[in-house]
Amino acid sequence: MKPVTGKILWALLASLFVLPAAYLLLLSFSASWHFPLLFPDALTGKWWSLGFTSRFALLGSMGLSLGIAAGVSLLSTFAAFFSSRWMALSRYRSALLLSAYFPFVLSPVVLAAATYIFFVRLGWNGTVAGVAFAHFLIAYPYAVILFSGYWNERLLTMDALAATLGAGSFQRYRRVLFPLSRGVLALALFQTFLISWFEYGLSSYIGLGRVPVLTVEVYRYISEANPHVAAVASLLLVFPPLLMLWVNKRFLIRLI
Amino acid sequence: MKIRYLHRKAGLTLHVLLTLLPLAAGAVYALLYSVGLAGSLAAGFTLRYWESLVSRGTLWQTFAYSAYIMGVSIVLSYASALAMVISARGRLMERKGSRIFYLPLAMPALVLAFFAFRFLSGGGWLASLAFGSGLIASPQEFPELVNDPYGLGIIFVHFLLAFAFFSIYLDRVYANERIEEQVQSAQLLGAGYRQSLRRVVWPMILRKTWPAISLYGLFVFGSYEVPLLLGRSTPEMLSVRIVRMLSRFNLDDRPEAFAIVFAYMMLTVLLVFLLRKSKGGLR
Amino acid sequence: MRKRTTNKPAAGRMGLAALFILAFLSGSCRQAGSREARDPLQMSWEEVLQEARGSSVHLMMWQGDPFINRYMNEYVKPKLDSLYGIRLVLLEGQGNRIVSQVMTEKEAGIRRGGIDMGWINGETFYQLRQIDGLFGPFVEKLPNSRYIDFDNPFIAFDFQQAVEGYECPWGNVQQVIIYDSLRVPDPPRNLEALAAYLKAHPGTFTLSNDFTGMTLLKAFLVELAGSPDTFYGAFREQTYLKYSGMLWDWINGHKKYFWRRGETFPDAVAPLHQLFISGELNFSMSNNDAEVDNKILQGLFPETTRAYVPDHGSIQNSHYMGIMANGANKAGAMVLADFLISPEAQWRKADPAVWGDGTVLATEKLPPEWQKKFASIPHRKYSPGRAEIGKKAIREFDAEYMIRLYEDFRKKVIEN
Repeated sequence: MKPVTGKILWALLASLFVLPAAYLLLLSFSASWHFPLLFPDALTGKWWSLGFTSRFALLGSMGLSLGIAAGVSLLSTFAAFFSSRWMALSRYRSALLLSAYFPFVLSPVVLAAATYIFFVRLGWNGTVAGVAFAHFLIAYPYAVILFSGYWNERLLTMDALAATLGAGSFQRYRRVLFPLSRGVLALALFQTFLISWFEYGLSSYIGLGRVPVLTVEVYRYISEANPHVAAVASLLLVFPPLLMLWVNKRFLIRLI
Repeated sequence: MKIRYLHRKAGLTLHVLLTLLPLAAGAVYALLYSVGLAGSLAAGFTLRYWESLVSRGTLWQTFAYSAYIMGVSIVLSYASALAMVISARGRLMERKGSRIFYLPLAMPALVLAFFAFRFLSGGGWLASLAFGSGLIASPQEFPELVNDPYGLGIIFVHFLLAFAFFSIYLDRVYANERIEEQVQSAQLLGAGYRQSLRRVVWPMILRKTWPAISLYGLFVFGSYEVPLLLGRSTPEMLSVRIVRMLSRFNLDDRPEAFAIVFAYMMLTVLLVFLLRKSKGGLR
Repeated sequence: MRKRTTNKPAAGRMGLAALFILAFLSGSCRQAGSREARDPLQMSWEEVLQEARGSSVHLMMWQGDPFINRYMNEYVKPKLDSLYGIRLVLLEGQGNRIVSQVMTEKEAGIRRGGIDMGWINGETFYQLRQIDGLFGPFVEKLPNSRYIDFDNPFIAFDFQQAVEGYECPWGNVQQVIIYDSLRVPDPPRNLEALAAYLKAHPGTFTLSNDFTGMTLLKAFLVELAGSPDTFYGAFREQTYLKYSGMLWDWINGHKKYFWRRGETFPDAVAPLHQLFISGELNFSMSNNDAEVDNKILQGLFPETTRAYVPDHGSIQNSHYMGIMANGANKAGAMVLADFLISPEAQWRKADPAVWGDGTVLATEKLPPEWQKKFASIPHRKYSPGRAEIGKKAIREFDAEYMIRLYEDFRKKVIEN
């Protein structure tokens, strides 16, 4: 590749990647912006302040989403950490791992549609716990798959060694396994957080409109033809992942 | 020791219940519903919902359209990402500013779809640009890029997401698999650069990344919010169609929707098994 | 001692998860919850108010319009709280979602469902009645119902079906076609003129594949049949087949001049409005005859926007509040319904700067001070007068027509 064309290509890509966020930022600050204006006719902060009034309550939605995502992330990461370790020691390792792939590859909204009747029976539809559990059903298998490659010979040997030296299982987790696994645990925590944080179809289906997580709100403003508030809500949705990118970009590389 | 063994067993049983039970229960319910054995319309075993789906061709149409979107998005994004990575010799992410490749990954599909609509529609930003530069005189003259017959808008969003993902991923594979060294040794043995690409780089990377490609493809296949915002009334992608049919006024649509759910679930099971059997497939 | 502590975290986690699984398997229902409600129909109104105090009402409604949402969130919500101590929760969803949800709850055997009340239209009313999904008759029980204009057939009948107290009228509107007088100085007044317009300006017209679009198709049917009387009364298969056949032929014959050649249709009014605003379309439409005022005030439509009813007339209909038979909070829903038909709530809603929704009250029955207030509602500036378009009002047809139109529009136009 010639350096010049390479540079042009690079610039093109850069603008393509930066464009969505930049465009939404401008949209959220524009008084009105429609065809054929290339730039908004006036800037205003009113959509942002409006977004936080009681009518829109975006802050509340953000808090709800954060809470659900944090809970789902913690629960699924640690559950998967334990079960993947047991799996590594199991005779049926590959079959057990395979079972995690099914919910993982299925469209979340179809999973919701297929199991909705059970959620209704349990009275979990339209509840925060129900939405969180539904998120867990897709975040947990993801974490299991993430951890599956992690339990290698070396780690299992160290674990066994600690056991021979008389450490109980609680101690082994605390002193050996957790410290050794800090990196992969953080990765799983962040990625399962994102799975929950980004989920729309499943949340709206199970939530029955009663659980206003941020993605559901974004969709609502889009369908209310309120693009400016939709842009504000979208940016709130993008902000935490951007923060992660700043902290450690590796956290964002995930298969969902 | 015995107690530990017990709780491991219980934990793994729990794992199976968490992963398989909801799916199995959902699949059984969908199947029963689709043959008239469950739900409020149940009036005894019947195959008429399946027959009507098959005879109208809508089942195939939905699957074929989803497969088309999946194929085009994946091939385009994978090929361009691979080209970038190879031309950068696996050092793409070492370049200054390469962090921007991560930006699309920080965006939910819903937000990108919203952006794509505002950007690509007839009254959108690109159309304004075309208008400003005198290319078009009215929004009607702008080419259809969203809600269009070829799913261009949907493909655009999936491309953006998958291209960013594959670029980073392939770059890492290129480095981890020491492909550059392989290329050099192939060249030492007298292979030309193109030949070494075809014989060494391409097969190695493809074998290594085949599972990731397949999994990503399945996500695109089942994607929901992107086609919901950018698709058209017909044909529809699978998830959109299922959800729409489940909330239609015509109550006969419900059994048919569950038939599609069941068929889709079975297809996924089959694909996961195939993937596992294939060389270098799932671990 | 040591053994016990070591197993604790894993055991706790397992216990929690086992609980999930057990719950998932057993399907223990939510019935068991709180108080077992008495039938509010057997109570005095005072008792209903008492019962409702401190409860939450879950209202599922279409939330595609910022003005309507604002009316609900900034007026109804706080009022309901301060007057009756009731918390109002709005759920997003149109009629089909309500029907689908109630059906699923029935299938799951849930007697205390997730929706208490729904904002519904004729076809939803028809379907909910069919599956015994509605609670009632409750309307007579509401103190404010004495003001409702039940002599008006547009209110007392919903899609040719007598309301019979199973849904409470909320508003009354007539469909209008919206256009920009700058771009379209002389809008088409019948199908022939529309065809000519389409040929001259291809790609500038379409209809939404939703309630509003289907309502427009009914007006087209009336023009094809020559008179609305053809469709009044119970559903007649022959009539439907004959005229819908003509309708599909007409649409398919002119499809290539529709927006996107009629291969796709916006799925709701909001995107239709957006296409109109951006200039892709020269027309939009609304089931709210005051929509133009409402949207110009929001700064969304240009001030040259106008609305009209073509010569074939347009559907005038009412929209209602229905209480779900399996709703968990019927008393609360009744109080909400009563509040929504109170003179104040109706008066406020009729103001074009708030919503512009026509009242369902017979204003002459109201106390004099309210009569005066209703008479002084600011006039619409851009929308046509209600009396004027009322002359061309068509009553809703039997719900079966609507359901068939939905179905066939997809099969014979979209998928054709």
